[in-house]
Amino acid sequence: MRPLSSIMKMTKSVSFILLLTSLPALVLAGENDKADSESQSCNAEYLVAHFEQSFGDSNTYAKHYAKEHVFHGEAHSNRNAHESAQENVQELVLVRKGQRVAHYNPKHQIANIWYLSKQNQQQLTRVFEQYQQGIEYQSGELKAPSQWHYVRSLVKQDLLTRMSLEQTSEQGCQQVKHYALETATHQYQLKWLPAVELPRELVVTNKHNGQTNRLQLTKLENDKVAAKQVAHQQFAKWDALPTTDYADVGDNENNPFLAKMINQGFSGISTSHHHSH
Amino acid sequence: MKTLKILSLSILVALTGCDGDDGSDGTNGTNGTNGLNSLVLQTPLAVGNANCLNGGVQIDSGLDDNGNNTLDAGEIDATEFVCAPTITNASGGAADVTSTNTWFTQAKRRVEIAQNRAEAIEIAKGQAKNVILFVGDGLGISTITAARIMAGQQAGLAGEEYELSFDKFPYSGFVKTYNVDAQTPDSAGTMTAMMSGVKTDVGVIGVAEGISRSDCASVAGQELVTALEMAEIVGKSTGVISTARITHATPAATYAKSADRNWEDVSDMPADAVAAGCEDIASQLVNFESNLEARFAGLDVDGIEVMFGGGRRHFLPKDAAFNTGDAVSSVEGDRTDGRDLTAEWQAKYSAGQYVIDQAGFDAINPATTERVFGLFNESHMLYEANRSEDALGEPSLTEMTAKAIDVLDNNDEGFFLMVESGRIDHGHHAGSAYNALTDTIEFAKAVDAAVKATNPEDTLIIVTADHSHVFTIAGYPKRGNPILGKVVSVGNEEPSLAADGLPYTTVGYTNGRGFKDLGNETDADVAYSMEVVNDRQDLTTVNTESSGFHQEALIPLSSETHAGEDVGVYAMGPGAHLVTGTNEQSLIFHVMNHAADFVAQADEALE
Repeated sequence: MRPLSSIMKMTKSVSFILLLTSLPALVLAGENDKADSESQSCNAEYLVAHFEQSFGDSNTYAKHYAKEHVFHGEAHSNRNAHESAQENVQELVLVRKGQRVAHYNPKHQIANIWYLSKQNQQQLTRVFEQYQQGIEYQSGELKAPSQWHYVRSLVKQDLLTRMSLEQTSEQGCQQVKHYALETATHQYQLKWLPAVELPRELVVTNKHNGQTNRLQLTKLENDKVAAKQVAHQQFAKWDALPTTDYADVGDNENNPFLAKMINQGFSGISTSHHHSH
Repeated sequence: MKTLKILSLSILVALTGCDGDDGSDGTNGTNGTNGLNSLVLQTPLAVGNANCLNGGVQIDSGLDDNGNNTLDAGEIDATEFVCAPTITNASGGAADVTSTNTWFTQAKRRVEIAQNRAEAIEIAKGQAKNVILFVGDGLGISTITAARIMAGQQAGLAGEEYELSFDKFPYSGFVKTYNVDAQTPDSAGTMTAMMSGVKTDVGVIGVAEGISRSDCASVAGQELVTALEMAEIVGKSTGVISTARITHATPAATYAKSADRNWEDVSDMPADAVAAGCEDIASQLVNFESNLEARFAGLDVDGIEVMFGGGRRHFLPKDAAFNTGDAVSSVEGDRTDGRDLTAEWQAKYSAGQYVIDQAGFDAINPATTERVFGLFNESHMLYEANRSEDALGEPSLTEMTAKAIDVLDNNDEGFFLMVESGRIDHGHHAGSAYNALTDTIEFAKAVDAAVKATNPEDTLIIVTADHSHVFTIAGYPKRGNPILGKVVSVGNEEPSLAADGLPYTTVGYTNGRGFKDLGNETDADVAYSMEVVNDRQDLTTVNTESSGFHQEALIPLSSETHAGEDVGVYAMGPGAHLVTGTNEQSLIFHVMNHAADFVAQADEALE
């Protein structure tokens, strides 16, 4: 990991994209499910998973990554171009409760909360705890079928499909599958927990500039009773906040929070954090 | 004035005669009185004179009784007209070219049609049995123009010459949209003006400008009476349709009184407002009948017969147990008071039909349906462009309009119907001309459906907008250039280049989220989760005509904004002749009132 002083700057962004959760190379197309059927007895429906994600410092790479995500509908993420310029280590908390999944950034107190409906529609609500307000997005926003796997597991299905299983370690709910993939531009190393369908570690290296991005599971709470209770409480806290359809933001310039969004391209991140570099 | 005077001599003749010598002359007799001059006055007549339509000369003649050498009005004994001959055919080279030109003959025909319509129109007060008000939310003039071209090009024409349904209406004018306290308005204040005849503040529903926004206590005494309420009072059927939530500002202004447009359900209201007795908008819709009766002693009305729109969330408890099969959220309802307003409505109107999807809508038999309540989406209904993506299906605005009229016209007393295309506004806010224009084209189809379903002799139809957007049609594209395309100038096949060497689109926005290239995406709102882009883009290889293309914007804002210029208003039917000139938005109510005589008849009903 490079020192903070070497983090690149991206000054043009007036982004509302928030906090990309995963590493850029995770965004690929395709289907197939490698979920281990043996793991179904291990609780994967209710859990709280803490991750640390670190990003390399290649200016070129980060710019490319930001652009690719902006222009290919992969913006339902927990990191934006601003932040990739300012912070190369972030904490991410994934909370799963059945068909609801939240990606929470503790530093910025922002949660992206997805719900997969019975009609297989994915609806996103973005909650700004600091402002005690949420924004709802229409369900049609998330169309790619593989998107839900990414939302739920931080790794797209097709990446798993393309990777080669190199070894398996440990057993039962603790089982770890070691996958690898090398493309013309990147090397991928994944330690996958099939029981909970989460990565224990994912490392992506850019072969051209040597930049390494890493997603590391630091703590997992998936005790059936305790995790269910924690997840329930967390979602209840977010659900209690008033929300606004993003389609209605333009008609609500009298609301100070929404007016910031309209007039300043406001991302919801507090100013003190925003200009911390 | 040139006057030609002809003086005639008066001749005195003395008679004499004898056969013998002439005797000496007698004494001269007394001089006779002078005769009178006869005068003739010729006056040139201009074209259009009642006696000489093609012009000519008027010839007045008479005696100059007062001797002033002027033929005064009282001295005219006879008047004749010498008229210029009527020109029945253009002749000569230049005239032939003009009179046979297509533009010339089409425009001439339009004048003849307009003349016939003007002669046929009912101008007396109270001639309209039915009134339909169409509101395109955010439908500014530039949006109409671009949608017209797009519709024409979809029909295989060059586009510019095409006519949307309401382009054919005989009367039109302009409306000044500003709110009492805002130069650029919002839907709440503008729709209140249209429905009540009183302009008011931004953000408030059905109340006058004495209100303080979001202050429940300030509502009392500011409540306005709307055209829909008066139609109810006089015994007409009533209907409200919107592709937005039925509790959204525009539809709400037909039936609700609220200090804040956002008080769509109880969870949106501050606790003190609820405690003070202010009622949320969804509750006001369901309680419309009893609320109206409570305002006027002795009044007995039967409530709104047709309500079609989105917004189930504001009618259901915040409890997953109340989710419908069409739910897209984990908990569909927002209400924190535990009330299920759909059930309350059904309990009030046991013969009414509550529907949530296309199948339920299709099953409505308008001939036998007394009333219907359709909530087709948890929030806003989908854009017309992605309507097919709804899990259980949503009817189009045209379908809703046609079915509403079929239900409402069961009442011999007539009806009042408000139809809003609510998502033109949202398409623009998201910076998607494609969504705004495709919704506008659907709006025009709905108007056409209303025209075909009603009798122009007894139905006033008004089409207008609440406000416009910062949407522009610019550059010098050649005739027939795709309206969503890059500017290709006259005589060229390749896009014109700006000073920065890059091509540019004909339509664009002054502000907003800016450029997005989302391919075949049909939901404009996808762009909301993406970065705001305000720097120039190289569009050389970009398909700007695709549904997912979002136009460039100059000023980076997270949501494109309303604009403050006038909007158009179009009308046909009894009273339509009053829609002309440039007016305050409150005029709309008064035109409807003249046509249907709402106020006088309501007063009579309340006596």
